[in-house]
Amino acid sequence: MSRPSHPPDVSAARLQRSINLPDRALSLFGNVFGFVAPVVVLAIIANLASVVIADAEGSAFLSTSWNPARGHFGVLPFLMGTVVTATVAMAIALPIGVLAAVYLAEVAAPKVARVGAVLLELVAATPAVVVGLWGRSVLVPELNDLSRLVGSAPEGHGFGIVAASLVLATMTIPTIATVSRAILRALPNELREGPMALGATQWETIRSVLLPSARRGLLAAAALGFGRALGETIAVSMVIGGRPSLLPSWGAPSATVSSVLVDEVLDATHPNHIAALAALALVLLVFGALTSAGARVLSRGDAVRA
Amino acid sequence: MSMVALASMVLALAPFAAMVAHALATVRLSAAIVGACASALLASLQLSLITVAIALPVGVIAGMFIAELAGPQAVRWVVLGHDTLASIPPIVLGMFVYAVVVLPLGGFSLFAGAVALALSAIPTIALSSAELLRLVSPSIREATLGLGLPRHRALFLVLLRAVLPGVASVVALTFARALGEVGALLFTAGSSRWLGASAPTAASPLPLEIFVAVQSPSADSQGRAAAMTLTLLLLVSVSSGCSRLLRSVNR
Amino acid sequence: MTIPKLSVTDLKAVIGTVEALRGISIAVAANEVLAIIGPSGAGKSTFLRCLNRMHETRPGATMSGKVKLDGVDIHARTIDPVWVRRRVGLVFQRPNPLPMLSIGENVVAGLTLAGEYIERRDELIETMLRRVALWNDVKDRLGKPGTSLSSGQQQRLCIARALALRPDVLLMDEPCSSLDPSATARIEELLNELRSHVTMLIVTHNLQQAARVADTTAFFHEGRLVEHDRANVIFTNPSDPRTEDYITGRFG
Repeated sequence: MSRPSHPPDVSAARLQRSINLPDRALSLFGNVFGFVAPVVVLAIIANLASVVIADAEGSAFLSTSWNPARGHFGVLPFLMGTVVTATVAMAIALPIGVLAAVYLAEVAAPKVARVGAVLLELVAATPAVVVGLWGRSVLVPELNDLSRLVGSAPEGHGFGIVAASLVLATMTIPTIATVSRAILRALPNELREGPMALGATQWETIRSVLLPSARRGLLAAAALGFGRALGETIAVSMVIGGRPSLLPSWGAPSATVSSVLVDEVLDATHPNHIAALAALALVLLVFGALTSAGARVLSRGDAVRA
Repeated sequence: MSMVALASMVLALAPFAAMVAHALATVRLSAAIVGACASALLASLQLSLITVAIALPVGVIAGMFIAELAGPQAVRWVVLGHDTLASIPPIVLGMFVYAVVVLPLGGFSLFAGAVALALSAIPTIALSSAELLRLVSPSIREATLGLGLPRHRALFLVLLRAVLPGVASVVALTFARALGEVGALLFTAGSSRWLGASAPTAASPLPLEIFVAVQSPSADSQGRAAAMTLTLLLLVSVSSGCSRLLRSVNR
Repeated sequence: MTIPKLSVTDLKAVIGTVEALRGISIAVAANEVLAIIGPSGAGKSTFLRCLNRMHETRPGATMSGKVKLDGVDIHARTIDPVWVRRRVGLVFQRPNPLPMLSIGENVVAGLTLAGEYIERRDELIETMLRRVALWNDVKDRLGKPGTSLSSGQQQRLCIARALALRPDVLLMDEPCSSLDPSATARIEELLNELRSHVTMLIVTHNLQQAARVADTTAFFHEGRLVEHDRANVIFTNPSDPRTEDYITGRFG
């Protein structure tokens, strides 16, 4: 039984081309469903970009005045609004969030810590609209009263940057706290025992050993929180007042990239208007993607990927 | 310093308590409001169910693809795609679904809303499933190979079964998140009141109703918003709780 | 001359950049028990996995050469690897009962998971468990999870599970290496009884076991088949000096 000996070179690829029909169907569905996500992402970017490119008037978008009725489509006020509110929110949320995490991970008794962690998770799951409702019904009037007490009569009646920043901070603190707590708990115990043996107090240990060791992870948590603050839409739109201003002042109503989308997308008819909104949506997308990628890169530094 | 840390913890939790307190203080339980809550609740449950119905199969099979079926190059792009999709704000997803579902179908619908929510949920389900499958003991995998099981049977009847509690936990999480989401719904499931246009066809989900009710300052609207808020919070807590429970079963 | 049950011709296998097998040719007759011995890294496990087409599932794995079962080339384009693995069963080094299935369900897992209807399921379970001398130990707790047994019992369960598919050939990759001596002894006993049902290839580090159980023995070294003869010949009067060195413990 002599045959020309050219034996088959069988590799793993052979297994993929299974004779088995259901396996082939699985492979097909796997590919289709697996690629839904990347394809949708590309479709969204393409969709928005095409709208922008088709109707945009280029540098007109970079002007500082937004007045659709008059054909002004400068988007800078919104960028300012988003950046300012997110930054202020982070300035508040980061220290509080990290300290809360330190409390749960290092200071609190185990039982208290467990309860606290569960409560924190519950708070983190609070829908944005509920936070926005509280912001609108409670925070805004309080801010109005507060500024009256101080003597100024705010144009925004409580709406504006301050309310939006506080609302964002409220939503960001639980995220930062939960992630930071996980990071602190992952630190090896030697980092706590070593300094203790040398006579350091708990807070000295936390300040000079634990927090520096956790720096990368905490930065990742911050990136995550910042990303969330940049992209938060509903709660912000409910308290910010919806009036774009290039130099947001504390008392005046303002607007962010996300709030203008809520307010104007369904009503926009003029192509330049639509293009400007599409450009803003693209900005939101990029903000989200960048902060999320940043958080991933930072946390990958800690974990070892097999 | 410990007091400061404790104070931070309290600050983190306090607003939530304030929200609940405010809702309890302003809630009104007239017959009309209770009825509205009930129909909004129904709409919410329907919406979340449809979302899970779309996102679960796509997400789980995508997860299988990432963990078992795809080559290493494909995996990189697919995972990047999922991570990016997960980072896109829901309102932008809503705009996309508006363009590709609402406009062609000629109107707002719960289905369009569910599609937008599903796009948000698929990455979470897919990446979690992939991670869970990766953690399945290699000896189980070898056993299925040794028995001569074709791949689809090994995956669905053995491997998936091994990670079922974990997948169920993620699904419960998806359900919880879908209950509270508004941004993705603004341009998809829409609300006639939000549009200011013609007669309502069906009730809107709870969070959308809350969003709309907030616009009007009347005490009745506030009471209505409060009632819906409490209902929503209860629902979200229960779903999140289930998710947590299932996660511990997985251990 | 009858066709051998298993016939291997010039089998070469590569994993990544490592040449695991460098041209193995061997034939095994029906109902024969072949012991495969050799130092670690000699390619014994890789060899087994080429025989049931599991080798190709490893990333970066390739092979060439022919493997024929009853004269049929198992790598032919028309042959489904799944079919091959039903005809050629494999018992692994560490017992791997499926944890989500009960003891009884584990025995017939190969059939039920494949969607096959089993006539007289309970009878089959009992027959297979008796064959591996497990029936009396577990008959009252067939519903308990497969992992609730001792490792020796788990390994016998895995053998029963492989046998339930009625394979022609049973491959065993160091089946007793994770078991204690008494469990090992019990498995060796049943190997003797099994020979009437299947052809067996057993990789083992235990030379006494090979001498006790096998009809023929093959000595592998660095990916090559160095010597293949009747067991008593290999162990008393090996021809190749490398074989002798290994058997007398000078290396490996």
